[in-house]
This record gives sequence, structure tokens and C-alpha cells, in this order.
Amino acid sequence: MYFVENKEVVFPGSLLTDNNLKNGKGTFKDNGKIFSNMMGFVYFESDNVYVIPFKDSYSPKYGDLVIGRVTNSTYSSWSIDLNTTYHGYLPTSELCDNSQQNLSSIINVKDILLLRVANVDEINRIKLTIRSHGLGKFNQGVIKKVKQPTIHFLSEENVFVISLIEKYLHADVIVAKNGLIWINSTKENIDYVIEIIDFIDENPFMHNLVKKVQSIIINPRGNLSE
Amino acid sequence: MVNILSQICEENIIDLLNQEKRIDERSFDDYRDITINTDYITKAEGSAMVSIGATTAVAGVKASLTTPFSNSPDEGIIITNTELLAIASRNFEYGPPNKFAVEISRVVDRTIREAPVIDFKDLSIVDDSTCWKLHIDIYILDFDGNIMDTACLAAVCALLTTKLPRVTTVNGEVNVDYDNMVSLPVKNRSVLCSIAKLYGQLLVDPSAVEESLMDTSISIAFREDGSICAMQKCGLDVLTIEEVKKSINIAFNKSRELFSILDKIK
Amino acid sequence: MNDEFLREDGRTYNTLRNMKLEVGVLNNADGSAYIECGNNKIIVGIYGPRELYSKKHSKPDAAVLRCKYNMAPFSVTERKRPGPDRRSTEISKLISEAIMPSIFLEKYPRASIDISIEVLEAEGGTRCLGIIGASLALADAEIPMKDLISACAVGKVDDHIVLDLNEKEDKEGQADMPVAIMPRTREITFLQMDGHLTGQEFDEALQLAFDGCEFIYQLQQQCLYNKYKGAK
Repeated sequence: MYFVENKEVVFPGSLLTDNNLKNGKGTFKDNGKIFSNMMGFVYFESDNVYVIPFKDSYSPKYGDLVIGRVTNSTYSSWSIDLNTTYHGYLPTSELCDNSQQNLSSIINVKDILLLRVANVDEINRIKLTIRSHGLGKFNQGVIKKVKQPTIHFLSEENVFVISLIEKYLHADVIVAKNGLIWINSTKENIDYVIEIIDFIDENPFMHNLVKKVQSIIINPRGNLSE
Repeated sequence: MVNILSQICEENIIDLLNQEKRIDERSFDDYRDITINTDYITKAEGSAMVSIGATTAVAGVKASLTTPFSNSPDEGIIITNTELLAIASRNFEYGPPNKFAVEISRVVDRTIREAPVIDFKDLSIVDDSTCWKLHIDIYILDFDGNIMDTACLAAVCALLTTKLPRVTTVNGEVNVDYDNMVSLPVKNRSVLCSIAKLYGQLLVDPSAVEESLMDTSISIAFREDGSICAMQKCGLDVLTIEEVKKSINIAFNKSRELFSILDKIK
Repeated sequence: MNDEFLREDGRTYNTLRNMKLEVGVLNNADGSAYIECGNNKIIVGIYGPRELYSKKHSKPDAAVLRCKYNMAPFSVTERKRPGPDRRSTEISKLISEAIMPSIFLEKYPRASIDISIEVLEAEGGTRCLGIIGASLALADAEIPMKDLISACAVGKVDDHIVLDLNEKEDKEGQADMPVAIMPRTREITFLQMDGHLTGQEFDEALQLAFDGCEFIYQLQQQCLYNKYKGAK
């Protein structure tokens, strides 16, 4: 039996169902029943149930593309701020193969890096890697912080929006899973891309958002507030 | 969690400063929105909740009878204390006031004492034996820069709305009439205005992100007649004589605005 | 006989004072809540979960919950000296124990969750309001929880069992019993009592406390829902 409807707002402790479903993110099982553990929208799928909270902070998973800032360096690793609860670490062995390189010439504290999550262990230690095509240090461009629904919109459902931005606004854009977007172009185009991203960030659940965004990319200087 | 955007923001702010713009689109001498809610705490003799932008302070005045200090037997006592609450910022910690909180308390105290907002002699009841002691406690609830002006405005508003029970002395015996509350007579109102120096530019009412980049700041307290009654330079960098004079000019103009805001509270 | 009994402030035995709940009131905190109830004014802020670097204070397999209850100097009739005292230390410990059973702390090893409860004005019942606010702020911070914790005080005034004691009833009444529960499972997470109650009166009082908590539980959910509507 379902005690709430699909996409209904639920609270911590709300009874969702006593059907034998797989309980996903934002839910827990107690006595064979499934409850919500936070406030958000509940989603029922054929064999599982999960809750998407409103703010929905990022939790790292294997393979995620992330942008991080170096906050500290130790003998064996760099500590990376990932805009989430836990810092990640990038082993120094990633960058030197026992050759006597001066590590500080490669990566410094405050550098901003594009990385991938190599592993997340059971106590949430986040191991990162930089050894893959396209990863490395940012030397130019700006970084924009957005909410998780925007990342979801741009990276999963509508990847072509990024291609459109790249094509029509001559900008390079990288969407990292940890809520940060890197943009590089001319100053004017960067400002416009940021305007578009802000628009998505403020209306992530808007009806016809894709069409709207598409039209403002293709007709730059269209009125966003229309 | 450190702010990953700090570096990018920094470049953006400097860029804008060179075009005489600020990140929140204010001009250099604009305050953010100021809201004042007086008589907020019913249990205090006077109180005010003041917000400048997102920075919020609550000030409460508590009065008690005590013996005056021996070096000023005909005057009452005012003690100012500031607490930077741990809820206000992830960088504030629970515990006794640190040097920043103490500095704020002392600057606010001088702004009030040197004006003086109220005549300390009015707080005396019987010379040498009985006087009012006013504790002004300032609580910083939320932080987005410029605590100094917010704290001072809250303290002054709390003091301006303070009501004390009428006290009569009959044959040296002090009677406190709690049913008869009277406002404190105001002598000289004063306000504090802080100017931040950022990459050579002088900005009124710095926000948290501007403060994180600022070289130094100067806070200037004005009386209503336009005279200066307290000053404090804080921060590591230097100020030139011209910068100080320019700051005083800007702060004087802003102080007129702050006084007109004070006029609106009863 | 309870039904006709009117209290000094005009309430019946089972009426709560007017309560205003709000979440997301602070700019920097990860979660926050503000409560007004009568003249009580309480603000709660949460930072975390955030990584704790000190090995001495962190746990390898769960988050550490650190809870501080603090009263403003101007919150009471006689000015309170700033800083912790025996009362606030005890209440901090009890509030932390009252909300701990509801939080999935094991989801955040090596981290801390810091809760500050600031009483701006006190008029009886601040510890219960502190628990209500802390639980709301945790929900606002989207920290996974088994349930919202609800709390209220019951007591005995003029030989009547009454709900939600005000300051005067608290001081002059015959008994005061704050209770916090997890409404979903009807389990008690916090219980204190001082004064005199017979066994029968205790049963009656506990039942009344549960009724009060369930009502407040509705208000808490409504408050969270309002925030969602505002965001929409």
C-alpha cells in the first residue's frame, strides 16, 4: 500500500509505503515499512522509492567529475576542498613516479583543479585522480556555484544545452557534479552564460525550461524575464 | 568547508572596483537596507533588533541599582558587551568574547560615552551611594560584514528606547516604582559609520566578502551637531592623511542618513 | 472538572500559547529555525555535518553531535551573566540526548554537527522550544532523521493538570514535567519532572503531554511545508 502519492512533499519520518520496494536515497526501512528521512519530494518507481530533498547537497560517487581547490599539501597527498561535507585527497603518487620533481611547481595550495572521484570508502574518505584525459589545473575562466537540480538539468537530462552554449556563445563549459560550473570565453559571453545559468538555477522545475533556455541561447539578448 | 569561490570572487571584485562598481551593485557610498525593530525583547528595559543587509544584531539594556565608582560618585555606570554568536558564521566559535568582540564593545562604548548619548549624571540617584547600572548586551545573530555599524546602531536604538522605573528618595531611602516607567533623557545622539579601504578605494558598509579582501578600515562616530566623538582604525594596512580626511567626509554625509533613520524610531 | 478550569492567562488546561515557527532564518547557517511562543524568542542555528580534524573529538564511524543551549543576558528579568552555567550545561546535555536518537549520525563518520540554541527571551518552557527548534533546524539542514522530535511541558497548577506552563505557572505551580517524543513511534527521548504528582496524575499528565506534542508535530510539519511553498 502507498501512503503518499508520487512526487508528494514528505517530511522526516513520513510513512511512504509498506510494499516490498528497494529503499533508495532519503528513505529508511523500519519493521518492513519504508519511511522518509528528510523533507523533499518522494518518487516511486517500479521497484524502488527515493526522496529528493530541496537543497540536495552533493555526495561524491565513483567516477564523478568534480572541481576542487587545493587547501593543504602533506608528504603523501593534497587536500582538496570539494564544496561538500568532506575534503577529498589527491595522492602525490598521481603526479610523480619517484622522479625527483619539485611538486610545488606542479600543484600549489589555492590551485583549482578538475578531477575525478577514484574511490569513496566506507568512512567517506574521497580519493581523487588527475590521471585521465582532460583533467588538470584551471588557469583561466570563471567558476559558478549552482544548486544540485541545475547540475542534474545540465548534466543528465539536457546535455545538448551545453553543446548549444558552446556553439552559439563560443564558450567552453564544464559542468562538475559537485555544484560548480567552469566557463571560459570572452568577458561579455561569460556574463551572458552566467545569466543563462542563473536563470536555470532560479527556475529548475519550470515548465518548458528546456525550450525557454534553448531560445535564449539561440537568440542572445532575448529577454530572460519574459 | 572553505569557500571555493574566494579566488574567483576576488578577481571579479577588483575588476568591478576599477569600474567604480561593487559586487552587489551598490555605489561606493551606499548602505544596504537598514531595518530597525525596537522594543523587541519585552523583558529588557530597552531593546532593538537591527539589520544592515543580512548582518543582524540584537541589543538589550538591563538596568540594576548599584553603588557608583568612587572616582565618579555622581554618575551612573554603563557597561557594553558584545557576543559574536556561533550561529552567525561558521568562523565564529562558542566561548568568551575574543579580541574582535571586545574591540566592537569598546568602540560602541566610546560612541555612547563620549557623545554622551545620555547624561551619566542622570543615572545617579544618591551621590556616593546609589546609581543605575545599565548593561548593554549586543548579540550578533547573523553575519554579512560591517558588524561594527550594526552593533552600534542596535546599542544606540536600545538606549534611546530604554525606560527605567521612576525612583524617589525619601530621607535617604530609595523607592523604585516599577509601575511608573520613564524614558531616559537623551542628550546627544551619536552614530557610527565604518569605511573600508579596498585596493585603494573607500567603501561604505562593507559586506562579508568585501571585508575578507579589505586592507584596513576606519570607523568614525558622529554626534548630531556634526562633531566627531570617536574613531577607530582597524586592520593591518595603512591610511594616508588624504584617505582619512576623505573617509571623514563620506562618513559625515552617511551619518546624516543614519540620524534620519533614527528619527523614525519613537 | 478540568474542562471548566481557566488559568490565569485565560487558557484552558489543554491550550498551548500562540506559537510561531519559521525555518531558514539565518544567512550563513546550514540549517536554522526561529520560534516565538508567548514572549519566548528562540533562534537555533546548525553548522554541519562538517569534517572534524581533531582525532580526539571525532568518531571514526559516526558524526559527533555538539549542542549548546545559551541564554542571552537580557532574556530574563534579572540580567544573566554571559557564558555557561550549571543550568545551561545540563540543558545542553539533555537536548543533545533528546534529539540524538532521531539522527542517522552513522551516515557522517569523522564529522560534527554543531547546534546552537540561543534564547533571546525566556518566559517558561525554553528547553522544550529548544528541542522543537533544533529538530526543525536539522530538517532545514536536510540532515537525515528518523522523525521530527516534538516537545512540550505539562504540570500541575492549582491541583489541575495543565499543558504548556508559562513562567508564573512554572515557578508557582505544584509540578513541572517537560517531555519530548518521537511522534512516529511514540517513544520518549526526554523526560524531566520536579514537584509532586501522584501515580494517577502522572499518567494523566503524560497523556496530555503526548497530545500536546502531536499537535506541535503538526505545526512543525506545516512550518517546513511553508518553506517549500515559499521556495516555489
